[in-house]
Amino acid sequence: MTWHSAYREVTPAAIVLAVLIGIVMNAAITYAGLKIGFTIGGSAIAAVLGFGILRGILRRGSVLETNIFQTVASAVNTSNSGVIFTVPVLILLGHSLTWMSGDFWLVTIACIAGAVLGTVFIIPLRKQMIDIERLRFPTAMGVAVILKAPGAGVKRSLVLVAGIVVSALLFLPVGLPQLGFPGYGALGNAIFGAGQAIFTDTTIDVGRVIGIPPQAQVVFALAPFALGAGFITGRPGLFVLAGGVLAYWILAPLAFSLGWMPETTTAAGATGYAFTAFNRPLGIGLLLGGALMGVLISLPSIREAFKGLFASKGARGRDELGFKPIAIAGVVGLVLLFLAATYVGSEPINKTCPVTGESVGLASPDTRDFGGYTVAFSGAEAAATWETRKTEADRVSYLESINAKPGLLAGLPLWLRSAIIALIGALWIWFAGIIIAQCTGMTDWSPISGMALLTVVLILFLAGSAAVVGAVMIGAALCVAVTLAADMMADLRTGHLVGAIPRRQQVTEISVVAIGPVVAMLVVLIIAQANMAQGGPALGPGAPNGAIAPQAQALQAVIIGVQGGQMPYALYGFGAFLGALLGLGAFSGLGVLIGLSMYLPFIYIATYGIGCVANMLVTHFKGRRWCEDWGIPFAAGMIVGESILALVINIVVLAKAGGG
Amino acid sequence: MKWLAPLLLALSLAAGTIACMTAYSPWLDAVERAVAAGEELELGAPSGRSVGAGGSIAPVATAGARLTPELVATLRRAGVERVRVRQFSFARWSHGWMFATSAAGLVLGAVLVRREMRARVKASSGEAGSANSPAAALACVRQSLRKLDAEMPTLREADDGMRRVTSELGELQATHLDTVLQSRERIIAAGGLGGFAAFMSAYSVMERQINRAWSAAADDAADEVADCLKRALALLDEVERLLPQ
Repeated sequence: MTWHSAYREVTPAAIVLAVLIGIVMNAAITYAGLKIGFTIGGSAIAAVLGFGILRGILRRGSVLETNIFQTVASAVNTSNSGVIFTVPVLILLGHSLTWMSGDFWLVTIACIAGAVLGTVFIIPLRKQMIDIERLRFPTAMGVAVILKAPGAGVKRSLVLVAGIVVSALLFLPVGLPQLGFPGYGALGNAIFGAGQAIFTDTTIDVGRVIGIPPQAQVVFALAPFALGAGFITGRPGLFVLAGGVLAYWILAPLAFSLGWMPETTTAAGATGYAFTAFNRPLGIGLLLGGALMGVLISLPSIREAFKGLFASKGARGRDELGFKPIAIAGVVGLVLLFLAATYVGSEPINKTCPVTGESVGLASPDTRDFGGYTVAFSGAEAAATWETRKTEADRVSYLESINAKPGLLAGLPLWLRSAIIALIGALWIWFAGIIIAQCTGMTDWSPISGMALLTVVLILFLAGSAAVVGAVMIGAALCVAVTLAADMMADLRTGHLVGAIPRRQQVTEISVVAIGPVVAMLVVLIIAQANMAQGGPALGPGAPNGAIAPQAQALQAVIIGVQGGQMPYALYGFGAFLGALLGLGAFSGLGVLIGLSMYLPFIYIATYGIGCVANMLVTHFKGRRWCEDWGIPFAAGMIVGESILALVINIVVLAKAGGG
Repeated sequence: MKWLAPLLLALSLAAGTIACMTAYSPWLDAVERAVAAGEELELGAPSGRSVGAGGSIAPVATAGARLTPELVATLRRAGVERVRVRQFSFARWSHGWMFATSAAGLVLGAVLVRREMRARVKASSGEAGSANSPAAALACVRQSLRKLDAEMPTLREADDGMRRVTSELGELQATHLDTVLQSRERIIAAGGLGGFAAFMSAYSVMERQINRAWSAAADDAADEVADCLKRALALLDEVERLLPQ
């Protein structure tokens, strides 16, 4: 690999500046994510900033150098969604995360391990997903449009800018309320009367306007990025819309009308009940089954992709990162997971001694392993009493009293339990990374929360219902892993479109992935401690700065549900079966697309669907070439405009919160 | 007939998911039989509806309540027909037959879709030598690259030389390269998935060199453009060799 070729690609300026920009983006978006529940992708913002800094200010950036800039910046930024979906759960469940607590650093190490594993595990599939299957990665295509703007001609650049401006103008009234100014909601009140819910700051309820019953949700998000992503996806995106239509316009209203919901469920509450009772488990099941079938059907492509890893150094072999660095990074990640799992597994699950009833701390020296858990005692005598005088039934009864059901691995020694959990965790990370990358590639949506939910359920099943810290830790590692897997693949797609050498992007991304989780974890810690200093809860409902962590609350509800035996496992299985069958046809990813949209918020899917339909109409009336030449740049601008404005607003809000 | 397969798939999926909605919501009769047989069941959601003092609405039984014969009788008196339980059983699943039927429908739909796809590919593969074939497209790619490669000495010196390179390569990307990508089904039909994967793998490496040449031209890096064009031409031999016929 030539680092100093005449044509600028990998340069110190690009890497250093990108890391700094990535850190700022990560901090701002972590804060926003804790408030609103979802995050903004960083690639498009990074591409525009890179363009402005390298070409505009430094006057020497090339297309490929800017590509490296956005690769690095997005790699540093991306891990925030993995962290905010999972780590705040520990705080919500009452665990203390401080600078001094081992759990904080363990979870951070697990997230770093996840970042490394997610990035390296997906690299071997670059050839399959991008070269062979040609997954679209809509935002990545938009980023390529930005990078290629200098050579695309003035007119196309102006179309891109027009898209950015239109998007920013459309999104501005959505973001203004965060700064204390009136937005779309005020306009809606002026039209429909005060307190109306038809036209809010973020959504428009078309169903209510045209008189559709409230159990069928016909609400659209005011989200230009969703419009743009839908436009770039085009016709295949209609499958995504189909899943949302099935869940929200057929299943929920039908169940309500037929009396298949609790008698106390109102029409307005039907959608929410349907989501928890069957749409989410079915959707996630469809996603899993569809992904599995997709992997099976793609085996010839995957085989070809792996050949490239072991290829001799010819023109093709040199393009790809070899097997050895991937294996080393994989082993390092696995070892980190094992160490974290072992440490967490050795922490006591009880706060009071089961014999004396006295308080016991985490550092209690008198512990015993029972039922797959570490139980702490107030002293050696209490521990001896537990072993000699308490019966097996007493011991089991005690575990049941603190809701600690044994897991599948309960009878194994700690080191073996940890090794199996680390191995299964790593394998699951690999598989989930494929699912997420495929979803992002086909639609731009990534079901991270669904994967987090399944991971936590899996670890609780293996390690026991009380192994929450361990489950969340592996869940956090997985979430960071899959977000980076999707980001790596999207960046490689952009790289393909501009002619970047994949190996250069892979090496630069692996070099910086550890930074992002540290930044995100520190921001979560700072915000939690600032809230407690103001006398409020660290995070969650009532938090002083509005950091309610909605996604983490949803995961908390799932954990409580698993511990209480409330998970509808059969629905996940049936969904997986249906998803696998859907993949038997011409399009192996069909189950993934439909499952994805059954459990994502329909308000965004609906707006995304409008974008897909717009692409089809433009193609029909103006032709495919016109749509690609002019529609795609405008749609790319729509993605960028909202992203940039949202980031600016988040930075302002963060600065105000820090100053306050 | 073209719409039969997608319609069958859509209806089957809808039927299957509708059937799943009752998996955990059996009829009260089935629950009563299970409870009488000694099975331990718990409510998975509130059940029943009662109107309290002041008109407040409350469930008759809350989620988590253990179903006993007495509670079942109470719910029956309240007009409840189905209850959501935490425990699944095939015996209590009222729409299991619908799920099985939908699964059969999905399999049949998949067979019809694949059959239709094979027929479509067979019809288009008769145009192997046509202008829209991937072989013809690759021949045009070779012609364009050779022309640009030959003109590079002149283009380097011209004021708008690199601009013309981006224009030519842009046209190539939008037309002939796109034709190859649109021929996926035809290539799979000719060479199977393995042949398609091997071809696309080589093709993508070549395509990336063309994309890189475009970027280099946009940055006025003429040396890089020249190198990329030569590499693309060299790779084109293997691409054409791997194209299934």
